[in-house]
Amino acid sequence: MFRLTRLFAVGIAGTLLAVACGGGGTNTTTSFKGTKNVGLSTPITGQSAAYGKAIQAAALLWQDDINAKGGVNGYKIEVKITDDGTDVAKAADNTRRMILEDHAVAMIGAVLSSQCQAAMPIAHQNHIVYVAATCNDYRNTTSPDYRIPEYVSVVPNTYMEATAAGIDAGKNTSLKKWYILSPDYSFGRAETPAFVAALKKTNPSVQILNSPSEWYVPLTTFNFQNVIPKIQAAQPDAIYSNIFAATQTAFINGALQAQPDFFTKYHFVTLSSIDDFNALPDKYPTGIRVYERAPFFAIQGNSIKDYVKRFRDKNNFYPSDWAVMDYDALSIWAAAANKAGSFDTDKVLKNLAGQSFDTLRGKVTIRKEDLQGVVPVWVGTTTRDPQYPFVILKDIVNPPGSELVLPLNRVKQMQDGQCPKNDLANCP
Amino acid sequence: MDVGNLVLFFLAGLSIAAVLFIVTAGLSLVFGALRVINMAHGSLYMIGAFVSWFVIVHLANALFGFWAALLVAPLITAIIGAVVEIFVLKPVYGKEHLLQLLGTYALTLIFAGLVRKVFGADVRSISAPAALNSSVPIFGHGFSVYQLFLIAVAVLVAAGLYLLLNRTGLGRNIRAAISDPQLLSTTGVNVTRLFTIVFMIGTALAGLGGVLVSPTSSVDPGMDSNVLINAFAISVIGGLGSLVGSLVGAVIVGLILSFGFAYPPTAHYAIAFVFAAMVIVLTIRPWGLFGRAEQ
Amino acid sequence: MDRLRALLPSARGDRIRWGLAALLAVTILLVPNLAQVAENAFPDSVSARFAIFLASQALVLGLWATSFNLMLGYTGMVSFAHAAYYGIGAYTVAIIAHNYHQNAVYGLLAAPLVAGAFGFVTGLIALRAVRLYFSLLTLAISQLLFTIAFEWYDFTGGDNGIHNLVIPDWLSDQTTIYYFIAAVTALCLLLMFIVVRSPFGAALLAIRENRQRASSVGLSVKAYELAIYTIAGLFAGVAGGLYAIYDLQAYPQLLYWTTNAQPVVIALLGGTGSFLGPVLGAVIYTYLQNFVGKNYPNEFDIVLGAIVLGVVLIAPGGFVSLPDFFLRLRSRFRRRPEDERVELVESAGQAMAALEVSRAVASSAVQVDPGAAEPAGPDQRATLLKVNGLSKSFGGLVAVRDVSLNVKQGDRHAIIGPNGAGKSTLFNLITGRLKPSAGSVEFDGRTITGWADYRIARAGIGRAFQITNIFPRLSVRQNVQYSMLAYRKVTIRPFGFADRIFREEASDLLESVGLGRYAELAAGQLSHGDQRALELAISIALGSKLLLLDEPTAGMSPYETQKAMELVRRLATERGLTLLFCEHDMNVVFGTAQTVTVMHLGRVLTEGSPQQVRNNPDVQRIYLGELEASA
Repeated sequence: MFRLTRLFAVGIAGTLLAVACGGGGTNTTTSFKGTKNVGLSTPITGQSAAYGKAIQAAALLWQDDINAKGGVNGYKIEVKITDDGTDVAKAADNTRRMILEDHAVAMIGAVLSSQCQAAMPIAHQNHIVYVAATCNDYRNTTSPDYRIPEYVSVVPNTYMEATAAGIDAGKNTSLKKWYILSPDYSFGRAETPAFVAALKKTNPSVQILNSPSEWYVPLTTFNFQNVIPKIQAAQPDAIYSNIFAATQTAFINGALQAQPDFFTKYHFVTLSSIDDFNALPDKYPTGIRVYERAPFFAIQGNSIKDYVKRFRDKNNFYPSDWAVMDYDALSIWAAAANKAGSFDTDKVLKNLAGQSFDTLRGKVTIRKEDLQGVVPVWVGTTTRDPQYPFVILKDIVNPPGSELVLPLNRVKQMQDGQCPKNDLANCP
Repeated sequence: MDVGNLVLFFLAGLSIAAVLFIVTAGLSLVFGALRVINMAHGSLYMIGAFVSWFVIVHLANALFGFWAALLVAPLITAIIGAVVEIFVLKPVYGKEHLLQLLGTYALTLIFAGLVRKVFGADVRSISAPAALNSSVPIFGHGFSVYQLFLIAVAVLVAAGLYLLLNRTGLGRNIRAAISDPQLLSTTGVNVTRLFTIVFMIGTALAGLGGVLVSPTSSVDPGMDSNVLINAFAISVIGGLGSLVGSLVGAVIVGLILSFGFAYPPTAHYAIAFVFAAMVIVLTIRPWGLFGRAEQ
Repeated sequence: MDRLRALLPSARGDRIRWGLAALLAVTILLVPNLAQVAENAFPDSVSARFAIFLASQALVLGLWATSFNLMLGYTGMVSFAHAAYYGIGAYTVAIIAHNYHQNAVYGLLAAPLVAGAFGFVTGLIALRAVRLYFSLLTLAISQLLFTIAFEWYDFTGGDNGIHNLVIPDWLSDQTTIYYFIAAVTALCLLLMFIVVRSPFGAALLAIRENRQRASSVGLSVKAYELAIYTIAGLFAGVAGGLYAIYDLQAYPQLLYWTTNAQPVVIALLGGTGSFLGPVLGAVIYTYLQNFVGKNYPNEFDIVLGAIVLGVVLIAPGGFVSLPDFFLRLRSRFRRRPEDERVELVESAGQAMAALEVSRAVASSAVQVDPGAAEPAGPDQRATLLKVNGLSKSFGGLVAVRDVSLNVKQGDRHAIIGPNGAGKSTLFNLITGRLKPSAGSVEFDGRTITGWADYRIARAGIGRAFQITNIFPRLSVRQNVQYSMLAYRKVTIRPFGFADRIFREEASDLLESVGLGRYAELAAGQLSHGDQRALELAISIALGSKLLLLDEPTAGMSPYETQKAMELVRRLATERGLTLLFCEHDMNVVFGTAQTVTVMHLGRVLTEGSPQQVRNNPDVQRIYLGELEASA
């Protein structure tokens, strides 16, 4: 009996290994000077695996597209994708491996801000361009602690998107009493004060019901059964949230469970993404105000329409915000490298700074001073459209990036270390 | 804060406790009888949730889907539990605790990967049946019928486990195993089969917890470790192997999470409070409130 | 039996392991050169800098896992807080370098102190619990520490942590960092190796094998556990500090409870039974993580899970047990005489019969207590043990009720009574295993009521147990030797070779009790009778003033009984040992004892010389009669 069990265990282990190691394909190259690698470390396993799925698909589609167009500088481009398991150390390890071992000529950024911050010093040591497409802590381009000259951001940073949401929210002057709900980690701590500032600036008569120490809830909260009654007890007019991904799904589902009319009783403003819409296909509340970084259905132009079609044909699902921004990140880097006629980091950076690029989101300029992409944010009201299996947005406002970016004098102050604790709120 | 709010927080705490109790009871029962800490308990909870999503979305229509899932998911996790017990745990009984911990830890990795392969990495959600999907007014606030339902189910599970343990021959054997496993093997009871059955009951409870929690939360690939740490805290506060301990521990943790979060000075540290409670209880009573001192 | 054999490495396996260790050392020295050679050969797929980085990583993980194994493999403690001390080490370096703008290397000096201090304080709390509760309490503590690191934005950088550390210029080159890490790691490994081979390490092994027996030979189990918990935390702090130096960051995830799986998995992969096992495990783990992560990013968790499961089920001894595994496998097909001999050694249970009483009594292992062995009548001798009104109740049940008892110096004092009379409970009260509900115990002029068991043992009360109570996976010689080390307080010494101290004395004593030829066998492999002989040898070796024997001859043949009691009797007369024993065999009692106390239902019924007791009608009625009736 015991022998048999062992034999079975060996069998199981073997089968699992075999299953795990199966798959993989090869490409044939013709007429390229050679192959250059671009590194992408993304969560394929772990808590944020849903992000990685779309990002991986976008990167592979881009790889086909760019090579069909003759690659970059005559070289075939291969995107090396590795799993970081939503783990900080692995993101750093992956970056190091892809730069050193795969000789990656550029890196595409990770998902969590702390992952990007762990990887940035490595990109800097090896002097490799690091393009952020998901992590968006504004301190990554401004704080002397984190900032590196190789860091380029093509995603609206926390300041930009929160400002867009705050201005939009402040315009509805009937909403006086606000309740704030944010994840307890630095993304939330960077984004929320910017929202509150923009909201108060637009509508000085608003009142925030909960104190800043209550804004942030632990991300490890396994459900929101303790948070929802507290909101109900506070009886706000409106709620602002930048909780995202699985926690957002948990919050919405839990709120609907606790009070079916929760999202009509309280005006709700939240950060969201296609992933979040998808997680609640039938239940995502309509009529709530949402801000997004790159909702494909709201973006104008032919290139995005073409992209969505090809993306769907290949993957059988719609591209998420991340799928759009990671594609843009790769395209912008490739355009700059082509323009530079080289993969040399200094030359590529020179051709990025202050230049404009055609992207899926239209023309995007990379600001010269901080290499922050001047990218727009979309704010709209959720509604159903029979064309899509999830909610989309109506009554969209689309403030251009130029109205949202941090003023240059502020950037300068921060970069020079004049803002204690690297916090915008503490600038002179 | 008025009375209405207090009642609201209290009920919310109890409904959190309800699911945690069901999950922890399974973990604790398995520990009591088998002396094994099942690290994969959270994985089975996650599998329960994903199976219920699959049943509701793909197999049954939405009307009966939830009730079907309530039966199917625990059944599937019980079967997985049997396989795990027979092929992974049996070979390591009587060896160091560490090997059991590591064996079940390895399973958490494998299950996480398999769930992703089978169900995909996306975040999912399910709804409670329409009958439960409403709220009743309690002190001027709406309170979810489904959460009251959760509390009721937890009471039923507690009563069912009590009857099982105290009124049936199987229960007598399980209690004997909890108090002295070595003695039990000399009494002619088929211990091998008993352990498999106990483990199946434990994993079925994990699966049941997974189904029950899903309508109030999300179905996502990270839910395994989140529930596990809470279940550990509860089983330790209450005392491993004790059903009453799981119940009291779950209520304590549920109320800590609910009231700890309710008021400004402490809101921030509600999660830390659970671990602080764990440290305090174990410092005073190293075997938990209702556990038995181990030699 | 199969299991015990698997745990004791064979000599051939040991030679292979030393070879592997030497190979490992040479490889570690040559890594930068080998990496360069590999890069020159395969410039497209190999990066020397990355290979050197991975080697740094493997060394640090190896150091961390080895420090973990001080608890796991050497003391039998499973801690879930070891990641916290690693994280604290990393934060110490990061905070000193980043917040205070000091040299990161100073941080590395502070890291073990800070981590060790945290280890000491949290260990005090965690060690209130034992076994699994201890593990889970460490889990709670580690989560609290994680929360502090996560929430203290001003000091620790909050959830982001601290990145992009500045390190001294002379360290910034990859190869220099590597050699720096290798040197620090080697130094730490050496220190740890000295500790585990020292008398202190011997105490840890004894605790791992048998906590109860360890206390009864005079070890303060909790103090030793706290010491090793702190030491392990300290070295984890060094590892964490090195991590911050090569990866230039510290962040809260390092302290998160799931991170604790890393040292456990690494130690298991390499082998917890061997000192360098975890280092080898770290090399394997780093390679696997890199290889699988690179080639199968979508299946990383499944592959790692399958490997861990495979090790647990097939080779729980880890990588270092493979030589023995293969040797056994081979010997199954090709039996060679020498293999056979190694496998078939098992004691024959003849030790007692071969007992050389005179030699054992004269054995140098026995501590001489000068002036104690004066030949005097029982009445003139001083009282050694004075039990006064001792009571113990469990809930409502009174097990011992108002028992008073005087044991004279050099006396052979028996306690008899039917089952349930409270004899074992009385022994447990005297030796400190149980705390009395009322009454007092005085020993050698001191009140020892309520003292911890190890203190009472050290004060001079030795004990042999009713159920055989030895250190099963230590060799027979080590059983005696380590007990002597513990009793004579040598085990506080964290240096020197434990196996070389008292070796002669232990061997001599073992020869005399007939266990000489089994000295190098695992004690658990002895037959039952021989284990009793060993148990007796341990008790003798301690050289206690008072020896408590709980049914010393249970399970012995009449001949063995005779020999054992002769030994005990002569020890008492010639070496000044005082005996207090309980026994069912009336021949033994009346043949050995000078004083007999009769207990019944938790009380003392009567006390006197064997003759007086034998003639007492009450005793005859309730006890002797009963015995005779049942006989």
